[in-house]
Order: sequence, then structure tokens, then C-alpha cells
Amino acid sequence: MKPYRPARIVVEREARRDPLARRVLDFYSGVPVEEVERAEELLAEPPAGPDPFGAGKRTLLLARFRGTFVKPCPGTAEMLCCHYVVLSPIVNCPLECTYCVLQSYINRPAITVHTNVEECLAQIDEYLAAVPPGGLVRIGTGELADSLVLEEPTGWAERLVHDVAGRTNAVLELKTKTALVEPLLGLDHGGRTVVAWSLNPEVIIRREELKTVGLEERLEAAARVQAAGYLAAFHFDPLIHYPGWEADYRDLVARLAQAVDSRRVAWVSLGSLRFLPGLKTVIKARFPKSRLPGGEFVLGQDKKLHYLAPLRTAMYRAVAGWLKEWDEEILIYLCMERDSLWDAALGERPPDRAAVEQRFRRRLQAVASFGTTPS
Amino acid sequence: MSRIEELTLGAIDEADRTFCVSFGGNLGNLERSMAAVGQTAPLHVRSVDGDRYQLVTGFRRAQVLRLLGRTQVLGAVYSREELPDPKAARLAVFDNFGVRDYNLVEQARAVELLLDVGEMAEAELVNKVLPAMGLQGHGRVLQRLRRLLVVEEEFLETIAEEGWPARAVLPLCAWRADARQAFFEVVQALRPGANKLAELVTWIEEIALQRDKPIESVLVDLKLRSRSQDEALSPPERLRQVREVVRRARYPTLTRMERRASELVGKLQLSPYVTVRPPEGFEGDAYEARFSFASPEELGRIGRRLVEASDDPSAVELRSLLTEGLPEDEEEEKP
Ligand code: SF4
Repeated sequence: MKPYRPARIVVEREARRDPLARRVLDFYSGVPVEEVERAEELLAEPPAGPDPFGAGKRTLLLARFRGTFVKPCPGTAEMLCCHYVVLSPIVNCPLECTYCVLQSYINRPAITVHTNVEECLAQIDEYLAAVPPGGLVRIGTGELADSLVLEEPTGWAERLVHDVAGRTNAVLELKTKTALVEPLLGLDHGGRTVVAWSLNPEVIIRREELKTVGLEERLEAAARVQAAGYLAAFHFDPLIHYPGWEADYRDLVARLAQAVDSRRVAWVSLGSLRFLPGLKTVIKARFPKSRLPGGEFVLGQDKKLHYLAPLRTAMYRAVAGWLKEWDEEILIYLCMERDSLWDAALGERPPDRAAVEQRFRRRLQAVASFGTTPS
Repeated sequence: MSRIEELTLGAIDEADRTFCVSFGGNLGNLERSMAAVGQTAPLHVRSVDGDRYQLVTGFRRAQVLRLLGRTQVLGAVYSREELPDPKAARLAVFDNFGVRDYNLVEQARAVELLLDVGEMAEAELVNKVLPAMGLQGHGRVLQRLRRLLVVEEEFLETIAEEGWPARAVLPLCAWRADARQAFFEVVQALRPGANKLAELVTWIEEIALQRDKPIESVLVDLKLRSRSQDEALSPPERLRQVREVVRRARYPTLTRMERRASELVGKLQLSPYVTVRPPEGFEGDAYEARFSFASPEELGRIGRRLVEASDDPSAVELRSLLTEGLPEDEEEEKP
């Protein structure tokens, strides 16, 4: 995987003083740097050309975040929610998954690294202080960017790993499609960090998850973090429906089973490809070789396109079945899916959010290192 | 500064199309209005060699005036220094803004003129001009709009004539010429409205992705050319048939599920005053039943039949259709 190197760095005047900004500027010394008063100035000059979103990724913006770092995952009313909290230290991503939802959301032509780390940590404190006793919050940084792709220049994950290490009502999930785990290996994580990989068959990785690492590298990296005492997690998300999916996903589970220790797997999620209708036009234009827009999609109640329900049921049921064959105890959940599909695909479902949290807590207690610092 | 002068129409070089944006479209309205009230606004021209003029704006008006047999026209005359090329290009494009809507081909020509002669930066075009034309302000739209001009002339004429919009037509600019030509023959015969055209374009592109085949093969596989020219059907029926064939190919499972659901509802033998519909795209957990009745007795009959139907195996299959889809033996399309 080619390391990311921006074509230019734009830094907010105020952010320039932050240690994280200095670290990034040092790391990318030699890259032209421009200073702006406010990040919003970048909006005034969207890149020209047929692919402004792609072009925007070549600009790295260092800025302070003036909003709420900690946001509950936007689950919808019809779907069972798993109390996930999204943290946004970095917004936008150097990787190029064809289906990336950020293509629909992000209007700032840059990858933004937020530099006010202390403020973020203070907000986490505040959020967790309000969690009722016995509650468990999963905090993830992988929603608006890959959690590890910019770890070397920024050190964001390291700060969060340390912050969460001593807590009892939270776990941190770092979600990645890279193998950039080196900076994590020596950290004192207190068993509170889960390193997660999004998995897909190699053919999908090559065609739809551009600039990411292949399956073998992801699995090797997962084994390495397990060896360093971390729990691993896996997201079969997005599951892609295509001719031959069944054999490929079966093979994927088999390779996963060979590579990692199931007893140190915190959870596995299953989620099928879903996106706002407008993204289809973007995918066709930015990635003409992507086959995804040819899927048999229908508009769901959440106003996103989903594969037809029976296709989703079949994929969930099959993959869950193979995972259970591997290890009956593995905690499997469906991401953003309605109750009837949980029932149809998994044969059961937790009745409410409290029950979901309890399942996570139990699973984490069951896997060896939860709540303790591994030696 | 320009001078308003009365000019001889014959002194204006209409063959010089450097600044012409107009393309196709009906001149009838303009002709009627000019016949009634005459020329209300001057043409903009540049003087060339003293007694000849280059037309900058007003190509349609000049054409109509000629048709009306006028020999004298009102012109705002500039020298080349007063109206250099970039300014003239902008005047040519913006003079018509607010007077009439450009068709898509004219939008493409306007953009080309602003870039090539108007020396306008791409960013300004994307962020200001495209939205002012009612188009999405995106570099991709600009790129496709420019490609539109290399599309076959005959196709451009139909686009202008039908007033087909960007969302339906611009994707075609990314197709190979032979696919576009084959598709053009189909839509030329069918003359769909903008929405149906956009739908056909999208579905055909996506079938090609689904089947991993070039678009031209999809058109052949679906026999769209012969279907679009089927003499046994009326033009609306032909369009309906082609749309149905393409939809079935695009959504094979969904359309089979729809068919099965309607068969199963039929098997329930409910009153003709009852309609049962699956959720949109089978995305939901409940069917919707609606009924109407004119008397308490009728209501009773409908209610009793609904209760009986609840035990029917078809009702059970309808429920499982929502999550399980078709039974395996139903899954393959019958030839
Ligand atoms: S890794 Fe995630 S954030 Fe990055 S491009 Fe892929 S989907 Fe988008």
C-alpha cells in the first residue's frame, strides 16, 4: 500500500500551535503549506475538474473542530440500535472505496485532521460521565475515515487508546482496511481497544476497495494485534451481492478462521451494501469499472438503497452460519437492519438496546483480557 | 460603446457562426411576435472592413427577419476593439439568459464558447454558469456537456427538438458511439418523455454492469431495436413494452416477486373491491389491504372472506416473500 502524501497542507492559524499540527507538519516536511484564518475558506475554492472529491483528497487540512466530537451513531427508528458512538478526529479518507458514503456527505475539498485533541478527550469524559451505571459505550473512529491510515503522521489512535485504557464503561473500536498496526503494538491499551477490519473477498477488495490492502494482509495484521493483547473484530460490511458471492464469502470465513483466534474476537457485524440514491451517480462517474450500481437495489424505509430483502437475508444467514460453524460463541450482529431480517437471518434478536449492550458486555467479559491489562 | 444603426440585413455575415449558440428549436413563436411588433431589440454586431458585419447575438432574430422579407435591421454596432472576442463571447451567451431557456445542445455550445473564446475559467463556469443554466455545478457535468458536441448531429437535433434534459442525455456521452447509435434508433422510434428516457438510460447502463457486458450487447440481447419498431403495437404500447422488458432485465428478482405476489393475491380470491399491495420494493413487514363497500352486507362478505383467506397457504407464502423471497424452484426465469 502506497503511503498517503498530500499535495499541499492547509493549516488554520489557530490550529498551527497545536502539538498535533506540528507533528503532522514535521512528518510531511517538504509538502507546501498554506495558512488560512478559518477552514471554511477552503469551501470558497472547490477544485475544478471532473472529480473535485478525488482532487480534494490531495489537500490535508489541519483545523480545530468546533462542533461535537462525540456523536451517537445515526441508527434509525425502525432498526435495532447497538449504542455506538462516532468520534470524528479525522474527516475524509485517503483510501478509495467505490461505495464510500463520504462521497455523498463531504463538501469540504480536503482530508481534515482535527488538532484539538484535549477538547476531544474532554468531550469523551463528559459523554461517558452521563452513561448510566452498567452501561457500555462503544466508541469508534472509523465512520468518517479509516481509523489507522493516518496514524503515523497524526498519532490520534494512540491518544485515544491511552484515554480509554483506564475506563470501565467504554471500549474504543479502531476500524481499518489497512495493515498499519505497527504504532499500536507497544501501547498500554488496558484491553479496552478493539481493532477491527472490514472484510470482503479479494475480488471485491481489488475492484471496489481501491488503495486498501488485500485480504491476507488484513488478516495477518489482525493476528498481530491479537498477539499484542488486543481484541480483534470484523465487519462483513458491506456485504456485496454478485454471482459467486456464496463461494467467495465461504472461503473468506475459512481464511479468517485460519488466521485469527476466535476466542479473541470481540464481535462480528454483518451489513449489506446501502447508500443514498445520489451516490450511484457518483460511483458511476468516479469508478466506471465498479459493478456495484448494477445491484438489485430498492429504496428502504431509511431512504437508502438496499439489496432486495431476500437477497440480504440469504447473505446474512449464510455468513452467520459459517461464522457459527467456526465458533458458536462469536457475537454476531446486524448493522442497520430491521427486526424481521434479524429474525429471518439469525433466528433471534435482542429485544432492545439494553439487551444489545448486555450482549456486548458479556462477550467482552468472556474474552480473556477484558478489563485487565494484558501482560 | 456601441452605436445603434439601421443596417442592411445582407451586410451581416450570417454564415459566420463564431458566436452562435442557437441550435434547433422552433422559430414559430418568434416569427409570430416579430411579424406583429417588429424588431424590438437590436442585434449585436461587430463591424468588419467598414461595410460588413459579424453577428454576435441575434442569430434566430436575423433568420426570422430574413424569413419575414425584411431588408433593414436594427443593430448595435461595435468595433473589434470595443468588443474583443472574450467580451463578445460572453455577450453572445448571456444576452439570451432570462429571455429564453437554452436547450441542452445550446447549453453545451454556450459552455464551449465561454471556455474557448470567452476565456472563462473552468471554476467560474462550474460554480456560476452551470447553476444559472439550471444544471448541477459540477466539473463532471461540464466535462460531459463538452463531450455532447461530438455526438452525432442527428441525435443532437432530436435532443433539441424533444427538449430532453441533461440528466437523461449526458450519461450517453460516456457511451461508445456504436452503443449510442443503436440506442438512438430505439428512442428515435419511441420518443419517450424525459423521465422515461432517463430511466431507460440508467437501467441499460446498470444491466450492462450487472451482466458485465458492453451496452451494445445488452441492446441486442433485449431485442430493443425490433421491439421499438413492432408494427403490431401502437407507439405508446411499444414504449410500454420496451420499458417493461428493460425493467425486468434490470430487476429480475424484484419483478418475479411482484408477479408471484400478484398471483398469490389472486389465489386468495378476495372480493373485487379489495386490493392488496406489498410494501414498495418489498421493503417492509406488512402488506397493505384496502377495500371499499357500499352496504353493511358487502362489508360482512369482505370481512368473512378476509378471515378465511388468513388460513390460505397463499397468505403464508405472501408473508415469507418479504424476507425469504421466492421458493427455490421459482427463482429462475422461465424462458
Ligand atoms: S476506508 Fe472507509 S472512509 Fe475510507 S474510503 Fe473506504 S469506506 Fe470511505
